[in-house]
Order: sequence, then structure tokens, then C-alpha cells
Amino acid sequence: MEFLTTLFRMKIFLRSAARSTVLGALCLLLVSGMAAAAEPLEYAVKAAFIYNFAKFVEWPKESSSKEGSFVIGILGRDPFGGALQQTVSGKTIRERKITVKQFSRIEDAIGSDILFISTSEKEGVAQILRRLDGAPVLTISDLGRFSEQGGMIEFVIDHDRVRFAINPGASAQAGLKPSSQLLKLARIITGPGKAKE
Amino acid sequence: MLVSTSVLLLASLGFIAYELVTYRNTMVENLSTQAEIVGINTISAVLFNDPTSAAQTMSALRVKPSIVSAAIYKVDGKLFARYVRSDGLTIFQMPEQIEGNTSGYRFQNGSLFLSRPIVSEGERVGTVSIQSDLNEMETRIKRYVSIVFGVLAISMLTAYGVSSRLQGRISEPILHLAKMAKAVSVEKNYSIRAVVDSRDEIGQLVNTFNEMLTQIQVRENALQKAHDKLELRVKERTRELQQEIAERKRGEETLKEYAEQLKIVNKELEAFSYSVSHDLRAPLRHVDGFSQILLEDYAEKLDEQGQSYLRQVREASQKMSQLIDDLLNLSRITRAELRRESVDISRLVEAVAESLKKTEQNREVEFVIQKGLAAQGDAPLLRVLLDNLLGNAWKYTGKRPQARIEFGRAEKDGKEAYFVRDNGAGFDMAYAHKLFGAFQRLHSVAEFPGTGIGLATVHRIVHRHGGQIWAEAVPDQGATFYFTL
Repeated sequence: MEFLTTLFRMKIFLRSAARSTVLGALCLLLVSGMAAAAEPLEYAVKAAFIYNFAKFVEWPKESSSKEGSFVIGILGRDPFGGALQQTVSGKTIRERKITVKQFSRIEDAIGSDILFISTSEKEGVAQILRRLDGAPVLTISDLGRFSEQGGMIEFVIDHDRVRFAINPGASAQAGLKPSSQLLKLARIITGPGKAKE
Repeated sequence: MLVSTSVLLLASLGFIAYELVTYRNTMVENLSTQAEIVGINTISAVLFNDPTSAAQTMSALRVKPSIVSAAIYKVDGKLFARYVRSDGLTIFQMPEQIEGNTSGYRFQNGSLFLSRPIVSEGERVGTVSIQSDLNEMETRIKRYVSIVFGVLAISMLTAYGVSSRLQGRISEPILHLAKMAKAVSVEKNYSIRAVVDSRDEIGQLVNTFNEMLTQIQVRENALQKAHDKLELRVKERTRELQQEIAERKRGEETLKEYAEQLKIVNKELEAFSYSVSHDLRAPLRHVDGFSQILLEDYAEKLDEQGQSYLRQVREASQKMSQLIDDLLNLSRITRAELRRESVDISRLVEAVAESLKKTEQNREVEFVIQKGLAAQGDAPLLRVLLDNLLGNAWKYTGKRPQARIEFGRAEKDGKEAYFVRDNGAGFDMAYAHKLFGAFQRLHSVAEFPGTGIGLATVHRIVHRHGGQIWAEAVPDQGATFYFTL
């Protein structure tokens, strides 16, 4: 699986630098990558995934016709190290330019289209989710039991591979519709999403 | 039959060819579509790096048994997920690595390989490759061919059935008719009739044919009758002719006998007359001689009457001598061989004329002789002939002051005849038939001397030459003697 993640990195690096130097750097990186911990690579993959999620989720009409750029927010500590910015640079979601913003308070982050909740916010997850209840924000996190608590997409590491679980009930509550293409790849969680009375 | 079969065959082959040509394209299109569909359904799997899901999506390809294998490659060309036909025989043959931008198709080793890009949001994220075998196409074509041939077979059978039926209705009666016609013409049997089977146009034809035969038969009979009658007539005629011929033959036989007899008789006669003449001559010489001596030497011893008697004796004996000479001549002419040669008759005539002139030099006689005439004949005999004819002419123009004798050749009664013409005494045509008889005279001795042998001689000469002689005359105006040789 290191192989595959390496390939992803190759894709990203090929875009920016001259090929020969990149290849050389890649070789080094490959070696180092395989030896070292997967953490920087992991978040590169997760960054790619986050961008891809946007392709496979339908936002409610009012939200998708919003003016301005498509906002991917990071609530709490930014673990991506610029990978997310790099992934989305120059790309669009439904013709909207993508912006990555970092928030420390949920109240600020509520206008995002996608919100990644960092592990640093472990303590306040329930509160955050409550606060976001009903808002058309795709909540993603790699905190454990995130989706059980009502988070929509939870990153999971399975056999050294980045996987994810989706809580379709939670997304439905927010008016978001993940495509079947996405759902079939995910572990489905039927969590205690805050059901509307 | 042949025509319809070959036409159908040609059309079918055309269709098959068209199918063969277009099916490839159709196949590529279909596979292309399938690849695209697979691609669309595996975008997320590729993006989210889930080869299991991709493989699961591809496994749906099993519904198409012609698909041998399929593979999904990531954007860098590395093999990501695979599918292979689960018949226990197929081996996955797709490459592990391809060019990142592979697209298109090729037919190779009995399979169709096709690659399409997987695109997400306008960006290429991978490649789908499918390998399909050509069985489907082959099966389809086989089916097509078998249908075609099945249709062909059915058509042929139908055509055969229809044509058999038609044959019964149309060709058979016609063939029957043809056979009858042939039989009639070969056997010359006009009593044959064709069988009338139906009341349609074919039947009409047959009826007309039979009528025609009846007519022919009638004519044939009439012809036969006429022929028989004719034969009968011919037989009769032949019999008549045969009778005639027999009679003629008999006549001829008789004639031959007569001729023989005649010849013999003639010969005898000639011999007789010759010898007689000769034998008569001797005593005659004595008579003549002694009477002359008497006249010359004993004239004074006789009185006038006695001298007159002696003179008459002499005259008579001389006459007799002349007669004997003529007879001798006649018999000689009859006996002698005829030698034919080319004779200048004109010159001969002139010679005779000269000698005649010499006998009576005081007479003035005009001779008109056609020059340059030639004839085929015995020269001495011809001389005798001319002597006689011209002599006669000379004689019988004796009383004419302006005597004129002509000789020439002219066309008379369609024949070329020589003629001797004089303007002398002529004769009565009533006695013409007596002209050439021996000792026949149409004038008295007192008027014109002569023995009557001359023309007989001439006649004989002409006949020995195989010619004819005849004469025309008017009393007191002249006579013309014509002869051919």
C-alpha cells in the first residue's frame, strides 16, 4: 500500500517541478517514505480524498448556488501541512473556485461547504456537531467514533490504507446526498444522528 | 430454377459480406460503450483507491461471455484492478503497465483489445481496457449464414415445387406437342394427333396443331392419289413407247435386210451393167467400124437409099456407143470409191466452162461464176457432175441468143446449196419427179440431143456425197439446179 500512496505523491509532484529533478527527489522520497512514518503521506491522501468527496456529494440547491468560492474549512490544528491547499489549487468544484480556510471557532466555520474537524477538537465534537445541526456542511474527521456521534464522514486506517465510513443519516439530515458511488466504497454507519422530531 | 437460385445466392453473399464489414465497427462501438460504462462506475473506486470495489464493478462484465478480461489502470498506467472470465480456462493477459494516455482499439490474436480513459471533472484519472473475443461475431455470422442458406434452401424447394406444378400445366403440354411434331416429321405419319388436355391457350395450340395435321393428311392423300395416277400414266406411256420402239426396231431390222438385199442387188446390177457395157462395146465397135468402112470405101457401089440406110446404121450405132459410154460412166460412178478432199469448185466450174466454150467457139455464152468456193468431195466425180450440169445448161440455152449460165452458192430452204442456173428452155415443174430417172427425158431428141443419163449420173454422184439435188424451172425461162454435198 505504500506503493499506491507513493504513486499519488508522484502525481502531485509531477505537476509542479521539472520531471528529472522530481524523479530524483521522488526516488529519495520513496526510500525515505517507506522507512519513515506514513503520516505526511497519509494526510496527502486524505487531502485528495476530501477534494474527491466534494465530487460525489450533492449539496442542497440553496447551498450549491451560493456565490463565492467553495470553502473547505479546517477546524482546529491543520494536520495537512499545505497538502490540502496544494490538492485543490487551480481546481474547481461545480465551477466554483475552492478555498481552504482555517478556523478555531465553530461559529466562524459554519459557512463552509466542507468542514474538516481536526483531532485537536476531540473534546468538543458533540458540541460542534450540535452547533452545525441541519446546516449544509459536510463534516469530515479522522477522530475515532466520529460518525457514530453524528459526523458524516470518518477517516479510518485499515491495513495501512486510508478508508472511510459514512453516516448517511447524518448527511441526510443536513440535506446532503452522498452518491451511491461513494457509499459503496464506504463503511456505512447508522449512528445516532440527531433525528429531527 | 438455376436463375433464381444463383440470384438468391448472390444477394445472400452480398448481405453476408456487408455484415462482415460492418460488424467489426459495431463490435468496437459496443465494446467502447461497455468500457465507458465500466469507467464511469469505477471513477470513485479509482479516486478513492479501492481496487476491491473496482474489481467488483468489473465483475458485472461476466454477463457478457465474449469478454475475456478487463483491467483498470491508474493515471500513471499501473494496473489497479482486474477482471477475467470465470470459465476456468482463461488466463489474464493484460499488461501490468501501460502508457498513461492509452486509448483506442486493435484486433489481435483473435481478440479485440479496447482502451478508454476514465475521466472525472474533465480530468483523466485512469484507463479501462477490455479484451473481447470474436466468438460473438463469429456466432452471429454463422447464424446469419445458416439463416441465409436455410432461406435459400426453402426458396429453392418452393421454386422447384412451383416450377414442377407449372411444368405440368405449361411445359408438359408443350413438350408433348413437340414430341408429336417430331414423330410426325420423322415417321411421316400424318394420322398422329396430340392429346388436348385443357381448355386454355395451350389447349388451343394443341387443337390448332391437330387441325393442321388433318389438313396435311388430306393433302398428303390427294398428293398420293395424284402420284399414283401419274405413275399409272407413266406406265402406260412407257408401255406404248416400248411398243413403238419394238416396232421401230422391227422396222429397222426389216430395213437393214432390205438394205442388205439392195446392196447385193445393186452390186449385181452394177457388175451386170459394167460387163454388159463392155461386152456390148466390142460388137458395137465392129458395127461402127465396118459401117464406116462401107461408107467410105463402098459408097459408089450403093445407091442413095443404100447410103442413107448405112448412114442411119452408123448414126444408130454411134448413138448406141454414146449410150453405152454413159451407162458405163454411171456404173463406174456407182462402183468407185469416194475420196473426199478440199476442192476449189469455182475453178473446176471455170475449167468446165472453158472446155464447153471450146466445143462451140462461135457461141457467146455469159458465165457468172462465184469465186473462191470450196467443197469437200471426190474431185473426178465432181468434175463429172459439173460437166453434166453445165453441159445441160449449155445445151438447153442453145436456142437463146443471150445465153447466161450462173454458178454459185446460196442459201436455199435453210441450207447452203450450190446452184447452176441457166436462162434456157426450162421444163414443166409437173415432171420434176422424173428429172433424175435414168433415160428420162423431158424434151424430145429433136429439140435437144441427149441420152437421158446425165441427170441420173448427177443424181447418183450427189447422193454418194450424202447430199441432195433438186431443181426449179419455168418453161421457156430457165432452170436452176440446186445440190448439196
